[in-house]
Amino acid sequence: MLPLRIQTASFLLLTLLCLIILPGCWSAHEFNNEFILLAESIDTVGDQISVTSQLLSTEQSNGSGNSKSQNSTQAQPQAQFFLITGKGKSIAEAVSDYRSKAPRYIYGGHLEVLFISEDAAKAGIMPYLDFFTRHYWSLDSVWLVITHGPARDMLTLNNPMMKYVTIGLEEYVQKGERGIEITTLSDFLLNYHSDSGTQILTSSAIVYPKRSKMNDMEQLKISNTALFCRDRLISFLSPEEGAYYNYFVQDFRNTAFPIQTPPFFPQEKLTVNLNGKSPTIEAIPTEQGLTLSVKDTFDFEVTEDTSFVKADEKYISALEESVNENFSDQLRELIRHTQEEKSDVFNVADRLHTMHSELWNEVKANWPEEYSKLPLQIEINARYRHSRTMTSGQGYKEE
Amino acid sequence: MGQPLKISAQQASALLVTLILSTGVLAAPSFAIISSGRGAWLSMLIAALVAVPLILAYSKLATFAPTLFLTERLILLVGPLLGRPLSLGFSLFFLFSSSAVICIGGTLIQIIFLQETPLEVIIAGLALISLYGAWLGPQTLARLNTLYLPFLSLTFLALFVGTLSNPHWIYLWPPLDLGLPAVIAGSIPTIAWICELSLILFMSPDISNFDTKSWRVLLSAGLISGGFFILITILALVAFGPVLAMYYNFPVLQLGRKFGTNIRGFDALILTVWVVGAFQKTALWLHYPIKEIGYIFRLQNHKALLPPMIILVSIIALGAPFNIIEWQTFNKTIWPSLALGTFEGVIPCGLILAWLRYSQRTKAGR
Repeated sequence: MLPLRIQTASFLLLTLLCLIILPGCWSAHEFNNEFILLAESIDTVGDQISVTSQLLSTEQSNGSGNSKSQNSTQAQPQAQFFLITGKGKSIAEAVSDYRSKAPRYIYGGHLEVLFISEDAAKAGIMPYLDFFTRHYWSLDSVWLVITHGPARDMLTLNNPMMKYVTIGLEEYVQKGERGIEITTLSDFLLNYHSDSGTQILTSSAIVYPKRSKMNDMEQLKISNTALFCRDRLISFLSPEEGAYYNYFVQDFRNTAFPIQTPPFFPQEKLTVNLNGKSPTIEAIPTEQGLTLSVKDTFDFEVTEDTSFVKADEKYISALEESVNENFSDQLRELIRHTQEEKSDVFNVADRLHTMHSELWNEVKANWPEEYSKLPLQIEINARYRHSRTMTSGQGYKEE
Repeated sequence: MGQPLKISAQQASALLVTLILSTGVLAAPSFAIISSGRGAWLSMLIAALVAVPLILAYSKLATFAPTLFLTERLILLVGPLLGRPLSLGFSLFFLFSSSAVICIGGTLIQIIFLQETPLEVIIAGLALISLYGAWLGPQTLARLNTLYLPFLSLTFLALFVGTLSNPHWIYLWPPLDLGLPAVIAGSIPTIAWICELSLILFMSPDISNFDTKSWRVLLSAGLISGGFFILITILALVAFGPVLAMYYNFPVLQLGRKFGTNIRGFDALILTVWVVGAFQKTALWLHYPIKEIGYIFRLQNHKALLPPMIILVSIIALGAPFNIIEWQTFNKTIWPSLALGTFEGVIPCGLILAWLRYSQRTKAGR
């Protein structure tokens, strides 16, 4: 005997059928009938926007198509990557244009990286990013990279190791450029809406081989150097400044700097590995008025053979002093550059707003000017960490 | 062996937490952040504290003759001429509120999951699930909720851990950045959300051993919900800052979108869990009002009202504004005024006065 009456059971069955059948049938796309969007580039061509998409077809080919292994004698099944370009007066029009050229539905939920050309970035990138931030696909963690030269070139990099640019970038960042974190769309939005409204974004450039050789390949060089005010690119930091900026804002357990240490190697640079908290930079009230104060305490070790460093207090103090001076100079140079550009990329404004809101209310109307005039006070406390068990470098003897 | 006819006080408390959080978690932080910026967490704290006297008022009204239907209790307090229309109005208020939840839930599901599915189909699906829950009743919903609450807590834990990987604590201070009036204004929608606990006036006959000491049931539900509201608002602020967070209609859900390249679409998973909670909410909001309407009109089987009522609720949901921005305006301005001005604020306070008069009369009679 049924535990429910026939009418009740029929009603429940009907409800379940509706639930199983109705939801989703409109929104479904067969996997083998779509292209997967992996990377996109945005360039300006005259008064138009050109959007190029790197797409992945879900079928595999036997080494044909756009893959770089056409000369291979043994045909291996390969995923098919290809590019489609669309143009229009707005980002929506350009995207609509390239979608109309693709014979299949394009799924963009796996979009990993967005390259924007230097020219487009100088005119302001928010109109482009607005399209991505409002999208129902979760695109907040998309990498945002400003390119020196045309952005489309990044998708056609002639390097077999990086033909799929996203994987190439990830490997490059993980293995090649330690300490670099690529900025994401989410990072951009957070800084764009901060009190200072300025920030540094990741930039990339292609390094072409000097002479045409068999083994020479085009290389992608990335660094965090694109200086932005609101959504406009205003200039680039030097690569060294970019490295020190990373030190400020990112996890630096893997950060290493080549520095000059005159007491030991007057002609050469030693590489020091850092360990400790990121430095703090803030505007504090002093007798001279608001002052930009940088405080940094860290341990370091020297990556080269440290046998020359004797367990002598005088030697170690000299080394620490040398690192202190070197660091202070580099940081001063970086901060002076941002002050010249009137760009508070360290977001000192937000911290001032939090810690001294009355002072902030006085200066907020003219903050870029105020920031550029702030006197600088740097306090570095570097401590040498001798990680070896021996007290001197004479612990081994070659036979 | 059949299931017990009543739910325990703890189950009632858990159901009420789900009732508040399942929808409040989405929208309440947004309203507070828009009004009070860095002071949104303070708005939430004020909301939780201001709601306490109202919660105690509901508790007093619910524990007065707790085995009687709401209509019977209102007749005792204010007489049949006012008691019956008041009870009917209370029921229709919750039916209207459930249509609002179904509509906004449908719109949200369309945006996050099913972009090409017509809204009518999604609303019909939600209405059918709610109907099924209302049909099964609070005993089944309470047991489902026991399974559900750990998942709800897990979503908060995941957001908590994800956000704390890179928090910006400076955005929590100064809380009075936009002034005290802004902070108080930001707390009003959340007070209305917490005061959804007024449903207890309908629920009390279904709770076993619900006596004068049962104010703890309601107070614990209110304080737990208030605590979660404060927590999620802090998460949204330290992740996005006050300016960016106010641009998001659902800032807490947005947290799930910035987890990193390896966990794409985590927001969809979180929303799935929250939608299950919203279904329990609408099921409760359908079950009790319809049961009460059945009693007012002396129907033998109140469940016969469920199919026509769900059609009515769906039509209201479909006829309502379909744009998220319009719903934001409704939830931020119209609904809190409607709720606190009537069945969540003013009327329960009036009923407390009626109860005091009734108590004095009873004592004098003795």
